[in-house]
Amino acid sequence: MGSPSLLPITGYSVCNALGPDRTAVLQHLRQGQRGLGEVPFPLPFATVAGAVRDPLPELPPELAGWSNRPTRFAKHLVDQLEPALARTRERWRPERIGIVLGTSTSGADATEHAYAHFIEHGALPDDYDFRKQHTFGALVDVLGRLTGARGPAWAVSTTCTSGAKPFGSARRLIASDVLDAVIVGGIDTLCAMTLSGFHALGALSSAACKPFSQERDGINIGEGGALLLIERRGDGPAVLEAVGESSDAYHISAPHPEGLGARLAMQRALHEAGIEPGDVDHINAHGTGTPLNDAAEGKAITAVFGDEIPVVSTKGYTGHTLGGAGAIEAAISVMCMEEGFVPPSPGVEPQDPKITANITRALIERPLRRVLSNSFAFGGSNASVLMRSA
Amino acid sequence: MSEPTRQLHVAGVGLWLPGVPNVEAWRGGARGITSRDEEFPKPSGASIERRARRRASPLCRALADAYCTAATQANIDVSTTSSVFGSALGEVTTMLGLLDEMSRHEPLSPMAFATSVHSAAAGTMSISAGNRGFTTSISAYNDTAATALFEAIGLLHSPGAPVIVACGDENSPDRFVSEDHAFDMLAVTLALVPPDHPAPRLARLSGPHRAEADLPPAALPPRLGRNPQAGLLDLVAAIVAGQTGTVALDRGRGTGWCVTVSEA
Repeated sequence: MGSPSLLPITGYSVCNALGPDRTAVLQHLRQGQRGLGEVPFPLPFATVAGAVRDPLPELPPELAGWSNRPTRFAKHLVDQLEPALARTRERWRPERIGIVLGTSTSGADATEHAYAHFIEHGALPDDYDFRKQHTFGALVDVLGRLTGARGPAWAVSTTCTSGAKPFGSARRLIASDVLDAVIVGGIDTLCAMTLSGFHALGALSSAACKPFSQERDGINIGEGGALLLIERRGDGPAVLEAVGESSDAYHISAPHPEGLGARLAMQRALHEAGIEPGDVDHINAHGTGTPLNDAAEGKAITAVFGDEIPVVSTKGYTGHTLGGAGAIEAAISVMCMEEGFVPPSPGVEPQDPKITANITRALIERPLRRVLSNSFAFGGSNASVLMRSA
Repeated sequence: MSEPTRQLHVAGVGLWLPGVPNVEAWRGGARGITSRDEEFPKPSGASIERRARRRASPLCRALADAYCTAATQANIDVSTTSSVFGSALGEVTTMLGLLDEMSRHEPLSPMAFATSVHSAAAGTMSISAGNRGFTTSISAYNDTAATALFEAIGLLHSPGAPVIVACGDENSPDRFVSEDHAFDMLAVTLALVPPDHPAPRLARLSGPHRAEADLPPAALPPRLGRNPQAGLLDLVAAIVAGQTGTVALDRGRGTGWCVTVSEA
């Protein structure tokens, strides 16, 4: 059985600081409205974040012990995806439906609170269970219970590529006939440790982030998630065409200065799809807003694609949702193809003159056949997801 | 409907557990210490680039030691091979150290934060080996080993190059895990090669599949036996002993994934 060239994306759901669902996210992207605001808990430094303000549903009673913010995000996203999931379950046996979910923090927020309780009271809270509320495996278990998928299920945790690499896993799992359908995605939530960690690295901006701008000074952290259904066959709004993955082999927390690994990931995606750079209409960049990341990605994009293709960083809308980012930005890319637009890249003015990529300044309305979504991470992990319209 | 048969060819194995620093020690009968208080040599992490080694956690070093043993046995070039790292809890000690710093209202150590991530070992190994190829870091608690093999199956199919699966978990955090669930650190690796690869084979695996195990788990001290990756150690133990049969990769604690070991 050969490598599948085109796998339909038969449905998706999304939630982030722009809104709780596709309709809200789409509306705010089109209007160029950012979702960044106050961090919803106290911190000893200034920053803004992409918090989700909408209420999240509770888990069913039988899963109450697993309830935390990421599992409630999972429930919210599954509820949105249910009509498409129902069709998937009709097409394939539960054992042929798998889950590959990206997350970098999973239940770290719950553990933060439990640890604070331990310090204050000398014991963990009665309702805290480390296995059920902290671990990556618990989030995947809950997603399996909510969706009815009974095939192999795991979390990918490669920091900021966590939500993008599941697309590559899905392609391989279907190509090697392990599965017929894979629920891929990414979910992460805001927690003080992550914000404090990026602050310690000097990577956090005290104001709204400005990806690719001359004035950029760091990232904003966001939260949320997205789930996408990848199937061997079916109908949907878009098609997963290729995934390029690479490693920088350079530094544990800094990108290769010339964007070598990023370039390799993009080139591998093009090679796998058998297309030329000119066949891609738009790039959703990793675009975090740190001086080093944006400089490296800008070089990599222009080296592979030149300086005409429209490039956007949607992190200026949502914040950097870390393990959720790759999936959220893939979902946004699908939306852009469905609706035929590229949103403006918030905060880019004045663009860094050393970055010659065509960073969008205003809404562009035109049909998009192919979009590439980039994600790059700590440890030099890189993933580029190539999708085309159905 | 039966599940499709999936074949994996094992060309190298590695392991590290307290008091058992390598496969040779295991062959010699060592089965791990029985108390965390006993003295035993720490994993060396000798293959990790020197500056990174200073920052590497015990888990990262143990994975590195076992990784290189398996790669050497299979004659695999670590600068080009694909790698699948698996762990239930990852760098949990470093992460909890950050919470300690926060509870004391101290600024976090940037390096501790950077190395607290689940993929620290994957990143460290790709940097040390100069590998710009595929690496990933996954987790599925007691199903971690089985799902790492599924990821490897996909990689062996396309692009069709060797894959190293490296799974491990460090000591469970005492404050968060009760004594009857606590476990000690171990790391286990498999070097898997495509059917046409020239490396000599140690064994052939079928699966993972949901089945009944007929090979008993390796005899381990209870705290090592509770490590979420102990089932992968059982598989390596069977391969090293030349046994054939079906091994439970989750030791009965996950969703039932097993592999069947056959002669190469």
